Amino acid sequence: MFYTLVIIGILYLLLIFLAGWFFERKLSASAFKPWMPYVYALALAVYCTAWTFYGSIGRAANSGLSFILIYLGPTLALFLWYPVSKKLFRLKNSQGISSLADFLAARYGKSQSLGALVAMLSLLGILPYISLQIKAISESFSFLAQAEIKSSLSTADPALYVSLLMIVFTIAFGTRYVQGNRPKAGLIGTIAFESLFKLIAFVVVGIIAIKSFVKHPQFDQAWLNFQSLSLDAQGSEWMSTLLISAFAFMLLPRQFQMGIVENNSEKNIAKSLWLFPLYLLIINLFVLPFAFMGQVLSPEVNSDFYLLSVSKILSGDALATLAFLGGLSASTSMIIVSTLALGNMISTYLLVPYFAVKNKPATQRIINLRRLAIALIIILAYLYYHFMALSNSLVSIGLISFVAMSQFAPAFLGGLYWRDAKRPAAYWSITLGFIVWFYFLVMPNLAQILDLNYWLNSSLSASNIAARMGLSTFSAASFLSLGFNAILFVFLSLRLNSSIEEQNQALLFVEADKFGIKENSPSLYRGTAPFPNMKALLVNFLGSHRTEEVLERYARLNNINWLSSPLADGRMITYAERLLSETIGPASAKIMIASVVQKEELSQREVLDILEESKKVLLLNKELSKRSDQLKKATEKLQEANDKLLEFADLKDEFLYTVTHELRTPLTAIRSQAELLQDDPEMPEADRQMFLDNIVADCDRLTRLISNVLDLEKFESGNQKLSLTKVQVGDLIRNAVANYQAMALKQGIDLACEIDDSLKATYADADRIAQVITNLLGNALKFAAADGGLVRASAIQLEDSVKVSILDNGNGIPAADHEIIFDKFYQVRDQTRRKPLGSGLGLAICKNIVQMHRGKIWVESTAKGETCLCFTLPQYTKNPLKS
Amino acid sequence: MEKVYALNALLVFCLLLLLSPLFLGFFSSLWAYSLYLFFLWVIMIAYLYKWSKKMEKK
Repeated sequence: MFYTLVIIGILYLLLIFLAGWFFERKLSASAFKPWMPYVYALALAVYCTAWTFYGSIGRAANSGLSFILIYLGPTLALFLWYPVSKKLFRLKNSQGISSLADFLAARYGKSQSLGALVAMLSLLGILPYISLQIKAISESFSFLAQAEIKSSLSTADPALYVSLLMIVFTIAFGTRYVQGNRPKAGLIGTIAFESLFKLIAFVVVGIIAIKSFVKHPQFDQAWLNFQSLSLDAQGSEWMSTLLISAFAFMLLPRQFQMGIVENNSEKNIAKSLWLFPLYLLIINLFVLPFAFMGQVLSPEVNSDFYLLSVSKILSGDALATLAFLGGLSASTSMIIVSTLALGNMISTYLLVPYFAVKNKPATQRIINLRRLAIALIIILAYLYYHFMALSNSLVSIGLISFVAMSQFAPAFLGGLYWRDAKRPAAYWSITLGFIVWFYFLVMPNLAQILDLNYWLNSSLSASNIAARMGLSTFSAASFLSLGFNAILFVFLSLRLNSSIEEQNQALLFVEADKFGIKENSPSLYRGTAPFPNMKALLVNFLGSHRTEEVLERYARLNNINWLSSPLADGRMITYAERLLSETIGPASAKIMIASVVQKEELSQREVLDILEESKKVLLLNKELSKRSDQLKKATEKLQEANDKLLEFADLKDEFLYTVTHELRTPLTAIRSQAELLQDDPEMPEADRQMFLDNIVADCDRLTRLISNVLDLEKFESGNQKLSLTKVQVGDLIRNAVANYQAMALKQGIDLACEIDDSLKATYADADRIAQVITNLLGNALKFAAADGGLVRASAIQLEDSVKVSILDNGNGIPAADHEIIFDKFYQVRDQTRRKPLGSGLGLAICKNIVQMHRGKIWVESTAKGETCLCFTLPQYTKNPLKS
Repeated sequence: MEKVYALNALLVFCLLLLLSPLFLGFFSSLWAYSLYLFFLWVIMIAYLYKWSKKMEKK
């Protein structure tokens, strides 16, 4: 089992590298665009870590349903998430935000110290959580492989290799670009893939295990336990867990990274509102069953590993291995994203200001510092796991991190929605919140490790204070830390003043929706800077290639020629600052910009005016874009109409050409025969008679053609009127068949009619309908088979119409031509290629006549290849023209 | 739109009450309470689904 697990684990890790490589190339393609909302929702499921696979089951086994609150909290948060995430997404783009530290630093006056505080405290809060994932990998492997976990560092520890591979993966797919906020397709695709994998793994393992357990002798016992267990829960515990997990969903570095930084479109957010909670519901369906199965099947095992033990007992090693892979997938995705987010914060606020901004060029150095931070975080997490986390349960570590990250909530929400929120208030309230968190949730662990029993037993110990409040330590820590934090934040914000720059930033953040700020912030700089200096600054941090690219784009959009405009104006400076913020954070960007620009402070009134102006420009742009779209559509329609007119003109030309050609042919024959008669008065009588007959026949042909053209013109111009009388269509068919009988006999064609006895009389123009029948019969006789020809004319009574069919056993009409044989233009056009026996206008006239009667005409092909031309006439009991 | 957000905030408050153990008195066992939570969760997702469709159209 040991080596099998090692090989399967390695194969899985190779698979996620392959997924990263695949998505890096494919996910940004337009073909994947419709799938992005789903990918985004799945990426948010990085929330479900190894804790979901192991810790939740352990918690369910020990305290029933309380584990569910960790997933219900985010579901509740989603009710309010849409406006928050939309605003954050816009701010990410307009302010160049790459992390929570960037957000808070930028909002509170581009403060380097606040960003550094948030980065350090995030590391303190999340490092144990990352180590929890490493612990889960190590312990689940050891449990299944039945290997012993060594408390000292060992090269035999699988978690060591997984940690090293996570460093490689995060660096390979998370630090490709120097801009921290640029979505990374390989990363988001891989995380979405892992989320899908862990969900499928959990569900498959759950279904198979339950199916096997239903037949198990101990099923009744487990079911009894489940039904009879009462829930002894504290209201305060429930409220605090819901609140903390809702905040954690918004503020955990991995959630901020996937939810905001890696999001590439506002449109992705809406779908995640229901997909993500649905994911949480499905993945939690099997937690309680595993807890109860574990209690009866493997009571001796640590409850955190009931998933592995139960699946192994019920379905063997294969199912347990799938469960292990699900847990591995959950752990690795959390490690990758959390480390990347923390690495961004640490490098931006603790490394770049000291090691990169003073050295040139800085681009590669910044990327290297980010890589160094990532490696350091995972190594620290691994060491923490070995020396601190071995004795703690999975759940306890996770909740400690949740409470830690919740300390940013007042400053975060205040920063988004309260213009009076101040930087010192944010700084000190976060610090106070973390002190209370440390005292209640970290100190007890430290005291145990350091044997500080006197503190543990004193009345000031965390557990004793919580007991005096009638709360659990966790609830007391949550309420007190967040309570003190929020009170201090509000108090200091109301008491203190802030700099003009901070006030301006507050305005930009709080009013981001109102002023419609999406891509670029409006210019808040007065003054100019030499363009070469600005360009040199950008080249230093973005590299020459990207600098050329962004400057060229900026110049194109704003119609600027850098050669004739040697000064960068306020808008350009704001744009450059945003680009720098994406790379080195807002605080360092501000310092760098200040080194080339002599900045003048703007009053808040001036900023408001600029924002109003910017809003007007945006609205104007929107209106212009709307008008431009309308114009585009109108132009397209005009183009279509023009194309149609051109086509009609072509058809008209062709029609005229063919008609004149048709007229010329008999005229030429008549002329030449008349000349012969004129030149030879002694011509034998028989020849003379033959020429005269030919001349008469050609004149008939000319008359027919001219009549057809005139008929068509009448129909199409609407000058043709119908004279409706009561008509027996059957009689018209019989007459037409009788007229053609002699010709049919001569050609050896079997011509007959079949009239339905129930056929009723209807109102129609008898002459015109007779013309249609005669025309169709004439065509059928022309095209019927030369040998054994057959033509049938029939009429049947339908519910509200009369159907007439003329069938011949000729060569048939290709299916592609069924729709267009009634088109006169088609007929005429076709004549130039394939000469028909008639004028080619007969069917077009038939169609016009039938349509004037409000009937339909069409072609059918029988299974034997015979052609049947059919038309219907509405059944009128009264003359429709008179009613 | 702001009215919708306010309605959602009110819903969250109501759901906090509905999810709280204050309601445990109505349920005879963990089993019954689990079912209650499950259906409440499904209803929440259905509401979010409807709301997200509205946002997508906007």
